[in-house]
Amino acid sequence: MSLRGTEEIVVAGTEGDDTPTELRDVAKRIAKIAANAKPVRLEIVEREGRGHFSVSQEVDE
Amino acid sequence: MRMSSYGKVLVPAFLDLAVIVLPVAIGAIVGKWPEDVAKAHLRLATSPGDVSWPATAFWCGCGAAFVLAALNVIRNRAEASKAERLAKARDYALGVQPVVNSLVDLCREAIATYGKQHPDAALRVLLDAIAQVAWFYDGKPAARYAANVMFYVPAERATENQFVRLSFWDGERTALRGMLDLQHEWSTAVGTTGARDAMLTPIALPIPKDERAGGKHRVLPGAPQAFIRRDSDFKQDSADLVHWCKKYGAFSSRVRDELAQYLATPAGKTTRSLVSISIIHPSQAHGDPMGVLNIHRNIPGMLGENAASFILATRPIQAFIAELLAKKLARKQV
Repeated sequence: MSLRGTEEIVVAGTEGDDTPTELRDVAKRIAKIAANAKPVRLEIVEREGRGHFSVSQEVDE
Repeated sequence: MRMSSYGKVLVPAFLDLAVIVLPVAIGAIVGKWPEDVAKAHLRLATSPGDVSWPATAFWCGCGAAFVLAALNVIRNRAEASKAERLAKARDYALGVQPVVNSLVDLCREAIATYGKQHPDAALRVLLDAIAQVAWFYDGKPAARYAANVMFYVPAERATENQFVRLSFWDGERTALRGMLDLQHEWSTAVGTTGARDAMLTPIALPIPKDERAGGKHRVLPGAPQAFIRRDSDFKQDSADLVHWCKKYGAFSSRVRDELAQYLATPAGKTTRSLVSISIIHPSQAHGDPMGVLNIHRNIPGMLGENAASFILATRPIQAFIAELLAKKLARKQV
């Protein structure tokens, strides 16, 4: 892949923020999901040699 | 099957077999030459040269059986420990996967809706998402998580400004294969809703033509190592980097000093632990990666033993980042 002209896209050191409001909203939704999600512990228990698995779920407080 | 695969199968099989066969052989020797074996310990003390071959075989067999049994115990414990670690990582990955999937869905939405109009901002939202996943994976600690993309520039195409930003390099330009240039536009920190990472400073990292000198590394840990491996690299504590460079690297004292100084800066302190992942477009089976994705935090120990499962779980977000980066670079082609 040609990178000719890469200097044009180098904006290191740029100050300020031009993130559109719509994308900020998406970022807020992402942050909300990550912040509110409760850690879930799953434990896989193998049934006697049949290759089947059952999953028990436990929510940490 | 490769030789290493044969080794993985044959060595444990040999150990198991030897642990069974040796006691049988020792028993046979004792049964056949009981006198020789009984008197051997006295002769070993007084005149070792007179010890008969059955007695020598008996004692050597006893020693070998002891060593092999000890090796077997160590091997079994190591395997049990590895299986336990893998099981824990698997259970953990399953537990966080639903949350990761929700974030991936939002990333997909961000790209589909805003990727064309605002590619840089959309990319920052993806970086925010992947840094959020790392934070979530770590159990939401009070730490600063951030992510950025460095893109690769071959040395012959690098501009003077990029050479000015080049750090940790005191060699000739002709010895340089290229550099990884940090993109402030493609950086963000958790909690800034997609804004650029204000803590970063402009920097480019060297990729030398020769990866080793005298058997030692010439490629820095982190992003450069991830780049040359076309894979990933983890650093649990950047405080160890200078020591690593001295012990395993062929870096001059000037480069090591420069690295130590950088790590003491505010920008360096934000990368106390780091995961670097090379960015490879699916259509790019060979050749250099487009760049490297860095996820870092300001305290040691990010992701720990969950690093490998984190990389697997975030593959969809990495693919979105590769797609956006490829489009961005393609638009700049002449």
